Amino acid sequence: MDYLGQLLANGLVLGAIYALAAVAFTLVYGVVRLVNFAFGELFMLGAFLTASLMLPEVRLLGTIVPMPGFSLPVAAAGAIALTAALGVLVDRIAYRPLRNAPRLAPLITSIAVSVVLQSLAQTVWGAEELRFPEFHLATLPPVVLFDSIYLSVMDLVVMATALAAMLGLSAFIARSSLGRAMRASAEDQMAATLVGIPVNRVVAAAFAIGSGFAALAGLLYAQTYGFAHSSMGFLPGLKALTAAVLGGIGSIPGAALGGLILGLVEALGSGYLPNGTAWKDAISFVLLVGLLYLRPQGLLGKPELNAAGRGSLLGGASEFGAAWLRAAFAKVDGGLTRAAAAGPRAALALLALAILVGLVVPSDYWLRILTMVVIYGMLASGLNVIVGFAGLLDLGFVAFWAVGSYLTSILFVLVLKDQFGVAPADIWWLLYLNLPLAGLLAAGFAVLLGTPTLRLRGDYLAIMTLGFGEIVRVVAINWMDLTNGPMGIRGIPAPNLFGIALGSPRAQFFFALALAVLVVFAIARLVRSYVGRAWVAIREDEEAAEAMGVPTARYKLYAYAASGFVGGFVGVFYAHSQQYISPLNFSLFENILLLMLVVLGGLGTFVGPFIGALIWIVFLQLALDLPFVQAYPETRFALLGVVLIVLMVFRPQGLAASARVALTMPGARPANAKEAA
Amino acid sequence: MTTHRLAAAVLGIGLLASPGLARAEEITIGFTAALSGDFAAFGLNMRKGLDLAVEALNKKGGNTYKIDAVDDRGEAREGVLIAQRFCSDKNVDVVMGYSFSSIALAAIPVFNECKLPVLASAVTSPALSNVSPYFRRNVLTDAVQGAMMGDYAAKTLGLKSIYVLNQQDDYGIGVAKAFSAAAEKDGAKILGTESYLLGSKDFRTLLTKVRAAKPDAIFIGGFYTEAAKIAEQARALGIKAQLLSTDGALNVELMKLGRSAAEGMIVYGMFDPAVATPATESFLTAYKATFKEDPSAWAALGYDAGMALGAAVDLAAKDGPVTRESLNTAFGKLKDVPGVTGPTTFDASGDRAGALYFLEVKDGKFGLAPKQP
Repeated sequence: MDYLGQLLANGLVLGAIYALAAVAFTLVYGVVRLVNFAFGELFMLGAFLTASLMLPEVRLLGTIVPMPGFSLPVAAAGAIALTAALGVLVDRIAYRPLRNAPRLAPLITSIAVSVVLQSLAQTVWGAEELRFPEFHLATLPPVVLFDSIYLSVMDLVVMATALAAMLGLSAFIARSSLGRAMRASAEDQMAATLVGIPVNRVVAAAFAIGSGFAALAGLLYAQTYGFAHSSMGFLPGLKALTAAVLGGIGSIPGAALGGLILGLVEALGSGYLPNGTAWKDAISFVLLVGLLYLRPQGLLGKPELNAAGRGSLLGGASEFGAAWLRAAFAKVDGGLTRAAAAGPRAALALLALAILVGLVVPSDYWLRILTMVVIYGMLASGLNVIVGFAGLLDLGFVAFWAVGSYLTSILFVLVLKDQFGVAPADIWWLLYLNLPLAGLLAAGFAVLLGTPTLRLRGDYLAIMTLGFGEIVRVVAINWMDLTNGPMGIRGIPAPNLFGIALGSPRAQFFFALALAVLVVFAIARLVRSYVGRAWVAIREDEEAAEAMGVPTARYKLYAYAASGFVGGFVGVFYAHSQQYISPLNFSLFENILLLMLVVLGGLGTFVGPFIGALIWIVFLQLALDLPFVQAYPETRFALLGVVLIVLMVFRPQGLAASARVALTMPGARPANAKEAA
Repeated sequence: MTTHRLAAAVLGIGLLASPGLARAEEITIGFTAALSGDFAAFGLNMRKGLDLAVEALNKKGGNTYKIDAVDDRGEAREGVLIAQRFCSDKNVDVVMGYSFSSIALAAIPVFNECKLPVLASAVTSPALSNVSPYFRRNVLTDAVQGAMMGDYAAKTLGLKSIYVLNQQDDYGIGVAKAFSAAAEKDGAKILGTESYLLGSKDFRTLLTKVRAAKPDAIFIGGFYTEAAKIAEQARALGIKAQLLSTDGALNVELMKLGRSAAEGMIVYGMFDPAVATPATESFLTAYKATFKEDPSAWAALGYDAGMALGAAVDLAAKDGPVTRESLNTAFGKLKDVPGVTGPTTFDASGDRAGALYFLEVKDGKFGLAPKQP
């Protein structure tokens, strides 16, 4: 009883913070329908700003700066106001220009904003954790209930604050005129504009309130656990998202309930399961996946929100940008359109160019980089099948990649070498067998993942696949007998063909290139077949496709399978090329990265994923040589985030959008057609 | 070469200074570690120590040293690329740093190919012993350190029942296993083992479980960020057990983050800021003057790695130009290079023998624990 009581108390404290964060998340989502990945960073800034305002002095950018040393309530108010202003600023710069852009574009800029804010926070406050200053209530002795349940005074304050803030927000939304305007905008932005609601101002207000709440949740979290750190927002942000989805996105009581449930389930699950703490994150995702399967709209959500994914992920374009920029992109478009018209000839020319580059580049370092570009290009192509062609937002793709890498590594190293003493060089042919085998296994996994998601649309789908990806990663870390856990698997042999070692960077580049030809050719054939046409029909309008007799469920599963196959297939080569893999290779960030590559290059194109990979990886390596980046390493990603935001704001449809495979009726995308002309 | 040295001895210092013989070379150190992201603190501390060593070496005259630093962000994908970057850059003579064993393991096949010597300072996985003739480290492995701590806890401190917590990675698992085995052999009872993921913030539930088992002591096999939170949350839950941790917790940040809860925690490390030998004295003052903070064990190891490099370069330079190969041979021949973490000698497996200090947090500072083995 003592034990259960303490677990419940722990769960309530955690749940209160999750609930507050989820409410903030859902408020913004309800109004703009945007999964704001930068949310966790606003949460983090709330904590940092509060801590800084409370201290007598703080080290910013390496120099000591005197600070006012406010008490917690004053500092908190200041931090909330500052973060709210920042939220509005972020909306103005990165989201508002993209209101009518393809739905994925603001998602990508939100990731980029998150990267920028996190890197900047590290530059300003340093890489170390900042101790959260002591508040006099926190020094009081803990409250002990029933002789065994310990709760600190601040825990009670945190719970009370969270409750008060949520009740206040509910009343505000229900009663005030701004709240009514918000509800109207959430219902239908067009209609709201028509009846004279200044939608942009309402959205800005939603961002201000949502960001302020994020800051409040962040500072309560930091107060509870005693620190602030630049990456502290990532996991709570993910948990807030999970809680919001659990309760039904857009529903404020739902978000509060979802947060509370999540906190309790995590506490009880890790308390009662063997080694439960290590599995804690998997527990919350299993709960999420299970609930979405049974009740796709979440606990208190409205069923119609699950249809928010209506319409194409790709449609629409930005009306933004200076004339010279438009002219520059128009040139790119012209070239791409001509290249796309040339079809196979253009592809062969590109291949010849790649071969030439592989032959003449003298540096092993650059060959390795180019190999990485080809690998990430292939992986992004696999993701492109499901996102770009079938229009299903998948954040769990990285799991298929992991399945392929682990299959070949376990077979080669843990089974054959360690158990049977077979030298990897004697069984070089197994690699070539593993390529299709891993592809099939991953395709099987993909169908398994795809089946329960068939009823989900849009962002619900994205969150559920994200849950799957994380579950696979947590399993890879914790199931040590199978995967060797976080120690990873090393000694994976380099590729070999009839006894000829293909381990040199140049050989690996050509190996990767050969695989890329296979992958792109297979995807191209598939996309141009009736299967691909069905995918594009689903992407453009699922209801219409269904009405025209396309069995959408079956074709969605085909898309998952095809995408999974590519992931597993490439994963095998990845493992042999790296020669060492660990769960670290397959984080959620990798998946987001792949998605960014696809969107950056252009969804639904064959060349886009490779263009995206080329820009990303080459930029990262070139940035290493900038003296400024050498002095402040974390700014490398901040710089990249800025580049991404700029690209997305000015070119939300992706760089190579004009090379998109024309499987829709001419004139179906007037915006693009106009630009191409 | 002996003739040259003889000639130098005969003709005196003037000849040594002549360009033909002094052979002052520029040694480029490829430094890589997680310098940004969640776990940047270890890499940044190593870097500070190394910077200090390089400054000292350059002041000494003769060969000059410079650092080419590359951030791996703690991401495995970057390991191979960075290794190849150093390999292909003909100026790079030696690679130092590394925050994560997994990234070092991924990079080693590449270094083997271009025969580039590596001297790492913070990677403790036993999997790195004997991994390559070009890989060395000046830090003890988890297996050795964990076992020493286990002995210390059971024998010297006489603790009877211990609950083991570890972070779920190669470091935490390795050190917790070695600790548990040694402590059990010496008669202590391990009441349970639980792991947590790196970066966890909430340990209340874990500690609720620990509280129910009523241990004498809790061993935390992990880094200071989590150790500080475990300490604070344990005290808030009314747990009074003795806290033990590892060199991962040996960082001044432990006291900043854990405050009074960290008082009495016993950790171990290869560096003791309290023991003022002449060597550590000058390091301590120089470090404090430059960085306005106390050095951590990782800074000390980074500094010693720099000093070991200086000794190896001097050794290699005696027999001709300093190349990757000659530097690698010289590393193997080093004997008892003095340093702030004790003398450095590398054995054939690439590891180093050394002593551990057991340190206790007292009044917000690390000091030698009252009981030493």
